Amino acid sequence: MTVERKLRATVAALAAGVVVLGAAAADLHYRARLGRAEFLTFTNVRGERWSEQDALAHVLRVGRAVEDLQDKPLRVNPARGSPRNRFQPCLLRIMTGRYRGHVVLGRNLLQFSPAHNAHLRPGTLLRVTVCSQDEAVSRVDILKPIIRTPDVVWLVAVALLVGIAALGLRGVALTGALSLTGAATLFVLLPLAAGRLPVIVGLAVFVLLVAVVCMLVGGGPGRKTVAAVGGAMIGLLVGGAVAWAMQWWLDFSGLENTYAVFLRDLLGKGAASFDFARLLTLAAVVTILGLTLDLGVSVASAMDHVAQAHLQAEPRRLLQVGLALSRDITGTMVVTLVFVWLGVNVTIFLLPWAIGVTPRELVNSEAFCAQVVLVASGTIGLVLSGPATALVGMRLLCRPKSPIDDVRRQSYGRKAMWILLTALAAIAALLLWCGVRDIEPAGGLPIVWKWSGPVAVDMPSAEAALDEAEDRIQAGRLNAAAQTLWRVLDSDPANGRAHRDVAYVYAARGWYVLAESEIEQALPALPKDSEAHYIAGTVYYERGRPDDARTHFEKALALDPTNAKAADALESFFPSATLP
Amino acid sequence: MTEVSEKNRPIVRRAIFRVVAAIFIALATWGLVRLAMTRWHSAVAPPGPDGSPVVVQATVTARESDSVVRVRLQEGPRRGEVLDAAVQPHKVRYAVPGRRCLVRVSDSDDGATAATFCGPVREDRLLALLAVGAAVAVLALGGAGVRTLAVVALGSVLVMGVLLPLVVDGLSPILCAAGIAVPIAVGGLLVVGGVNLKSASAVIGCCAAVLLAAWLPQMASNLLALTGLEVSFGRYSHLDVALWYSQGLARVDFADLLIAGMILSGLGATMDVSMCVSAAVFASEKRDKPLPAARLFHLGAGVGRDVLGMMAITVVLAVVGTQFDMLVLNRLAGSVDVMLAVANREEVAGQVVRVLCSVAALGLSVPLTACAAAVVRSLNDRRA
Repeated sequence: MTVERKLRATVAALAAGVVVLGAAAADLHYRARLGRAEFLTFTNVRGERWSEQDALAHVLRVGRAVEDLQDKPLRVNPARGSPRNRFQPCLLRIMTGRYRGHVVLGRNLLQFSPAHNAHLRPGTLLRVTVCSQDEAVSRVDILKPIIRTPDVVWLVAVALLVGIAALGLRGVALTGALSLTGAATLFVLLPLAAGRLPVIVGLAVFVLLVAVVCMLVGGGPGRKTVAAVGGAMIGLLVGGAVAWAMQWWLDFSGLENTYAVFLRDLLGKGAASFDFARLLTLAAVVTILGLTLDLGVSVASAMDHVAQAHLQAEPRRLLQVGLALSRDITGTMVVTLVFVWLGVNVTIFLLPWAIGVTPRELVNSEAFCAQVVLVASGTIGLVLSGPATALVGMRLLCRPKSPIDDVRRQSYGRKAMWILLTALAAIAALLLWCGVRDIEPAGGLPIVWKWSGPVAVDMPSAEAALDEAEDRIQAGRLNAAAQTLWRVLDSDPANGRAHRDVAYVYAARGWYVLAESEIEQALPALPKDSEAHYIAGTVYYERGRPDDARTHFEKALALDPTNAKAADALESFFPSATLP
Repeated sequence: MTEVSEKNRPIVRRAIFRVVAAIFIALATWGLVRLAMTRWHSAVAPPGPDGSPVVVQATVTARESDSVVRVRLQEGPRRGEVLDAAVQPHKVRYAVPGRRCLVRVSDSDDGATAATFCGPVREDRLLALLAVGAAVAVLALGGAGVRTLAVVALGSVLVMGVLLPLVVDGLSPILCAAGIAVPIAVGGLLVVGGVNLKSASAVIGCCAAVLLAAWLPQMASNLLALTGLEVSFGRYSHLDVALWYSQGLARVDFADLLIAGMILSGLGATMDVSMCVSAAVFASEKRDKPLPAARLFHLGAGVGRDVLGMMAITVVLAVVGTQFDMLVLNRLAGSVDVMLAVANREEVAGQVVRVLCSVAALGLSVPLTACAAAVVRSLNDRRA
């Protein structure tokens, strides 16, 4: 391996390391932020004390969802399956807060559309509220939606790593450019757009960003870069101006937007002075920023090559080269822009079926018009940035014909370079300022999440495990009991005793729909089990089936006349009943 | 002087031809888009029992109160009739006397007519913008502009006229998207690059890349539990229930429709890169002895790697731009931490997957197109 190759491999490895570290830092920061919840203690009027704390939890396993058959159907739409609520039991490991490490049983309510539900599977990360009494976890409420951010972060990291592995140093440059674009969007564009700076300042910042990325991709400052930036800037300004004019002509309020309405309500008077409508102009500029940049760099590079190859090339010849190239490239870029828009909005075209608006209302709505304006103004800006780059390039890239011209040209080049460097310094200062402003005040050490691995339970036999589970139920350790019972059902799904005990655990939690499902699986296997009939009676009574409940209480007593719980239940629920 | 005029004559003639063509294309765009809108409207919203349209154009004649305006209907069998229309509070600013608006008219069982103010009429101005955009494209790009508009029209017709009706009928959105991606790529690349081996190689590379990259959004959608239902539009939020329980959309698989949208999003950029790579392979100098396929492949792949970075940034910014208001307004509500939290939402996670899917398609298109173009060119050179 040559020294150069070694160097390249080292740089790529370092970049990969930075990507992994960055993803890990973002992941830990996010988890720590979520896990930084207060531990609250309450006392009710009866003097009972309980505590609550939000925490992160990790799904260990998920049970079968059970439908609440007695529930009233929510809507009638047979094509979408049953419209009733469903309940899904799950085992969770709490990862943050006071109860970190505890394994608890949770219940996931599945209702309405899939978008409202937490789709659980082993490994899913969730936010839960842990309620406890006497230091023992009494209830866990699952908060929706599931946590996707760490997965999103790692997905992006894996994509960047694949890029570095496949493209080597070009992949590193791509990662750098993408990271810079992301950071600039997050720390510069969004704060500026969210602030009260006028549109013109926002546009200026975008153009400066163009310069930075041009230099990163195009190999440093120079006349070529200045030509590319100039052309892109003209395209951006035209696109932004068209969007701004259209927002005025089409009378956009900027408030036909869920987020804007929410913010206006949230901020009250503070939002009154915020110009929501100008966001469209900024969006148009951001949309075509990459395209104009790409186009500008391509056209300027081609013109520079021609100028270098033919030192005496006429400015007009250079202009023709630039225009010809921009004609070739711009078409596919417009197609790129339109297809991105079509792909993003494909579901929107189905709205006339869903919300009862006619296509005409949809087309005339502010939200739809804003989307069309975004693409149309972007297209106009993009189409003009190619010829603009060619014109600027003709002026800057034409080679000198005499020593005096050469001196003059070098002077222009130096001036342009200074302007770009000043712009870079301004962006750096802006980044620093925005970054400092976003630092949160110190709020104690974050809680660092640690993966403690799956639960390992030694299970000599199913019978022993069931004995152990029943001991735990007797001791009131229902979560631990459920964990063992689920493992028994893994190896023997038809085990009646396990189903019976799981039904008991669910009933003790008040989850009667799930308990009903379990006890109905237990009864065929345990027709002569008094305890099973007692549990069935309790569950049926709570589910509003008193006749079935009474039958099962009586069966429980007939099978075991000493079953005091069944006798008590029969007496209290059905006072007129005659004990056998 | 005469010599200069002679020299400039073809340029002037070309400029006049281009201006005439631009005017023609602008008028054609206006007419075709209006026709498409009318067709769409009549397909989805059939007229009322008496044959009159449900939503008609009207003019505001007076503002009776903050919640009622008087309007004169301008279309349909009831043209000229004056009605009182109810206005929602957020639409009051548009209810200005003399202004054209849309009104929803409905008859109750007892024969009374109710009207609702829907909002201002914007379609004519929107059509004007599209027409101007088309004219600018023709003026600036000439024949390339016309070809570009043809590709955009082909894509829009296939999405609106083929993909969506098939999806509503219950066909798999992913299969439909893959099915229309191929004709769009074939048509688009042949129109832009001409009917030749270069375009054919680009078509092979582009189609293979788009179809192979379709596995990524499926995997990511599964990992992130994306449902495709987390949609908000304008003032309508939480459209998931409306979409899920709509009788008309009962057979639509929304999670797959989201993936179909991701496939389409990356199509344009992939076409661009494929054509670039293929053009580089076919543009390499011809020598006495044909270049070996491996050499041609390396040449195309090198050029592809060069353009890949910029194209990836382009796609990222294009997607960010289409969701810019959501990002800014979330940023307005909180700090950078909030942005990290926003990634938890299906809309944002979906956009990230969309970008990754597009970049994966771009990445795959480079070696695939380079390979196809190298093989096709070396075979062609040998035959020659």
